[in-house]
Parts: sequence; C-alpha cells; structure tokens
Amino acid sequence: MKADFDNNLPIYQQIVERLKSAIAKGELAPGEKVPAVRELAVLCKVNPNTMQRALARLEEMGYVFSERTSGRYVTRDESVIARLRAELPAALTGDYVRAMGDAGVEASRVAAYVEEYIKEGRVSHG
Amino acid sequence: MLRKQLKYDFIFAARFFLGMGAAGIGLGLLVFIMGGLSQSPANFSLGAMQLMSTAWTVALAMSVAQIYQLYSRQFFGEVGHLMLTLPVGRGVQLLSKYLVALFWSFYIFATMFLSLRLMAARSESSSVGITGPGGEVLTGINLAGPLMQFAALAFSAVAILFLIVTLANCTLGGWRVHTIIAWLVGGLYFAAFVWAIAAISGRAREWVTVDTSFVHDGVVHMGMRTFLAPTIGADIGRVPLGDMYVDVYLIAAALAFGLAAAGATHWLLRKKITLA
Amino acid sequence: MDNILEITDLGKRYGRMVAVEGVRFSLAPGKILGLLGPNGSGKTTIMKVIMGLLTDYTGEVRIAGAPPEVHPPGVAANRYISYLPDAGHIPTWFTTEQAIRFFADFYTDFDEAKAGEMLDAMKIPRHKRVKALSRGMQEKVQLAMVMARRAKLYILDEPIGAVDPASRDFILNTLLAHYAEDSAILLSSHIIADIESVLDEAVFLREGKICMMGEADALRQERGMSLDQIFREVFRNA
Repeated sequence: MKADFDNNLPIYQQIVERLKSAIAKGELAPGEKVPAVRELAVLCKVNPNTMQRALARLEEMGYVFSERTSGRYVTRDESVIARLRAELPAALTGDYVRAMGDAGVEASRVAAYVEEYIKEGRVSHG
Repeated sequence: MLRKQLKYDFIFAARFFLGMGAAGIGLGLLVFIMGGLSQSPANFSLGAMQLMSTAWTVALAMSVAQIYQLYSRQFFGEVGHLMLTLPVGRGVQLLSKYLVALFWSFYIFATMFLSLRLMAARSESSSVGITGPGGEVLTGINLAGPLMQFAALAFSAVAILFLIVTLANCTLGGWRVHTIIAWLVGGLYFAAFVWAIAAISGRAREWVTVDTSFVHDGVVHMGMRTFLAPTIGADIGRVPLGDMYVDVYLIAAALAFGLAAAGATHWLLRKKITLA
Repeated sequence: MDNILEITDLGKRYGRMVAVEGVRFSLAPGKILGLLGPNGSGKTTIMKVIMGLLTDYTGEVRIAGAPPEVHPPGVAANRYISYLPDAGHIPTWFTTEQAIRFFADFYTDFDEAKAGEMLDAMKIPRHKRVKALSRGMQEKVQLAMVMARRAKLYILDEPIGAVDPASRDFILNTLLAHYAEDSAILLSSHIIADIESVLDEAVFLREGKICMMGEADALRQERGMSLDQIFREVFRNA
C-alpha cells in the first residue's frame, strides 16, 4: 500500500484508486479497521489532509464507513465489494491498453499480445 | 527570562575567559616559584613584572576581541538565528550581555592582579627603584582605586564592542541615515573609552598640549600605573583613595557617554537589527 | 483570526534591490504550505520577516497566538513559532543534552520527553557534541528540537536542503508524524520533487514575487503535471 505516487496526477485520486484496489483484492478485509489518517499519511508519505480527503471520498462512495468514536472501517457489505471487484478488470484493462498505446503499440495489435501471453506464458518481441 | 539569558551568556563567555584567567595566575605562580630559585629574586621579579604589564595589555586586548567575537556571533552569526528568535526582548539580551561582559572583565582584572601580586611578592620595591611615567617611585599595590577606574574602562570597552558590531551590520545592511547616526554614536563611544584610559593614566588634563606620548603611557603603562602607582599631584576632582587618586569628573564623563551610547545601541538593535 | 498566519502585501528592499514584493498568502490550521523557488527568490526573506529578524519591511504580517491574540512579528509572536533556519543554529559545542536543556529553558511548549525519544531513535548519545555529528545527523538534531515544541506555527527553511536521501526520508517522516490539526507548517525548498507529496498548498516565488500559487492537487489537475514539472516550466520561461 505504501508506494510512490505519481506526482503528475492529483495524489488524492491515486490514493482513492489504491485503496479501492486494496479492498477489491482483499488486502483490506471486509469490516477491517482502516488505520488512522495520520498513520496512513506517514506510511504513504503524503499530506494528511490529502489522505483525509481520499478517505472521505471512499466513505462517500460507500467503501468505508466511520464509527463515531473508533474510526473508519471497510464496508461489510459484500455486494459493494463484489461490485468493486467486478470493476477492477475493466479498470485494469483500460490502464493496460492506454499504457500499450503510450508504448507505441497499435490498438489492433494489443489483443494479439494478450493472446500470445496467455497461450505461451510469455511474449516474443514484435 | 533575564536569569536564563544570563545563564547562557555567562556560559558562552566562560569558555574563553576561565582558561585565560587561570593561565594568568599560573604564570604568576611560575614566576613566584622561579623567583624563589633565582640568584637575585628582586631583579627577576622586576623583569617579570615589566614583561607582565605588556602581556597584561595584550591579554586585555585579546579579551576585548573575544567579547566582540562572542557578541557578533550571538547577534549576527548563525547562532543569532537562535538567539534573536527567542521569546526574549532585545533590552533583556543587551542587559544580560553587558552584565556578563562586566563580570568577566573584572575576573580578568582580578586574575591579572593576583598574578602580578604573586610576581611582585619577592621584589622589594624600595630597593628596586621602578619609576613610573611621572618620575615618581612606585610602591605598593592598591586594589580599591583601580577598581573604580577599571569599571569605567570595562563599561566603555564593552559599549564600544556593541557599537562595532552594530556598525559593521549597519554598513553591510546599507542604511544611509542609520549608518551616519551609528558612526556619530561611535564617536561618543570612542571618546568614553579614551577618557577612561586617560583617567587611569592621569593624563587627560594634559591633552591641551599635544602630547602623543599619552597613548603610549596610557596603554602600555596602564598595567603598571593601575596596579602599582599612586597618581601624583592633587587636582580638582581628584579624590584620594588609598595610594591612588581617582579622577571623579572623568569617570563620570566616561560612564555618562557609555550609558548614552548604550541607549543608542539598544535603539539601533531594536529597530534595525538584521541577519545577513 | 482563524488563520495561523496572514501575510498581506509584504515588501522588503535592501537599498534599491527588491528582495520581495507584493507577497500575499495565508496559512490555515492543519495545513502544510511550501514556498517553492530557486535560491534568492525571497523564501528566506519572507521567513525572516515572520520571525522578526528583518524589521524594515512594508505590508502586514499577522500571527495567531493563543486565541484570541494576534501578534505582529516579534518577541510576543516568537513564543508561538518554532523556527528551523537554513544554516545550523545550535552552537556546535553544545552536547545534545545541553541543546535539550536550552530549548526547555526558554520555551514552555518544549516537550523534553519527545525530544529525548527522537534522539534515542536516531541513536545519538546525549553527551555527544553537535560538531562531532555528521552533517545529516546535525540537521536531524536541529529538526528534532524544532519539532519537539508544541508550537502553533512551524517554519522550516530548506529542511531537506543539503542532506542525503535517507535523511530526507527521515525528515519528511518526522514532519508528517508531528502534524497536528491546530498548527500549521510553512516550509521552503528549492528541491521540489522530494517534498511535493507532503504539501497542501504551494506558493511559487520568482525574484521576490509570487508567480503561481494554489492547492497542490488542484495545480496537478489543472496542469496535468507534477509541481516539480510546473516549477521547471515556470522557470524555464523566466
């Protein structure tokens, strides 16, 4: 979870995406307590207000909820998490295709790369 | 806050002065012991004392330079970032440094005095025949007289240092009007300092006739006269104090100038202080 | 005054040379603001004015003390500000224990225990003289003393300036760990990349004037690049 964020994009959005991903993958289990804002901020080396904003956004979206005195928890609602998990492949695909495009690969050739990887376990050059 | 400021200013100054004074006494002890072993103790002592009075003025100059350095570092060096951002007023800081400088000036005075005392212990002044600048025979050592004069000297010396530091800073900072004011005040300080020295050497009244030897007498013989010589010649304003005569008017003038200059320095520091 | 710091139209000249001009920004509680710009752009000047080290300036500077007090720069305001200057300010012959004593003596909000903990975490023995420590260690000790105070405003001038990357990480962590919602941090840096993720707001200075300012993420969104990139672009076109 702690990792370098891309300073070229708004950091709070990146935090939101990372946390969503963590919840989808089960790194943050349903009902698990989310560490305090300050702790997370120090861990990720980001501004605490930015972290707070990200967590508030997650709360807005329903992925975490806060218990008045004890802090924030990941939602226990399995359907919400399932939906998130379903979104993941779509988001990852979009990221992948965009990245391939940035690397200079034509859109029509992307699928071929994927198929070869699945079949052979690796991809030959070109 | 004054007590805390005093504590630290005292410690900062002690690092230099403690050793200095101890060295002085050590030297005196050494001469005392060696005098005891020498063939002609009186001559040995005499030679040592003549050397010592020159060494004493060098030591005073070093102390003065050290006080200057301490303050310039405290106010305008990197440590100034720490000292000047304390929740302590400028007036308190200045007062603390003045008091500390006075204390250590007296300390140097006392240790040098003791040192000379030790050296002089084996000399029989009557048979030695040291003559002072006025042609008088020097006898005895009297502490009370020099103390008052030294107070004026120390006070104005410290005041001068503050001014040097402020002046240097003003000039670097480039303020026109304040630089002029500072230099004018510098004249006052210098006058106070010279008066004080002249008072000690008893030469102030002779200024009217241009006598350049007063500088030599005043500074180089300051040691001998201060410690050993009674000033001769009764005159208005001169108060006998033991073996010494104290020129009251000159002391008062030195103190007054010193105070005025201190006030001006305080104002300058409060209004215009700047760190490069 | 709700803000911890408010600066309006600040100007400072040295003779004919303009150090800063028309500087205006404020700092709310809980915020970390970065003054970003090359050396000589006026960052240190602004900080020295706030600390009362430069007195000959135009404009207004207001610092919030224990509510409802508001102070101009000076002795009264300094009680609420913890300052880390660019160059080392602790006398180098001090031992770390003496440094703790010094700060404890003059500042009622100095947390001795915390300072001790930080030194222990850095494995620095108390009797070690500051001059005997490496450059990076010295910086960390200076920072520890500054952050161990429970001040309303922390002013850090080039905290990661001349320090190795490992020490930089430590310093940034210390900064974030001492974050409090009712205090604010103003820091300056000419190295942007390492520090931009901890900023709420950024103020870009060029030759004494603000050429750009805003919330960090908003600037990133607007320009589609990092603060570091923005900085380089802005100054390439100088």
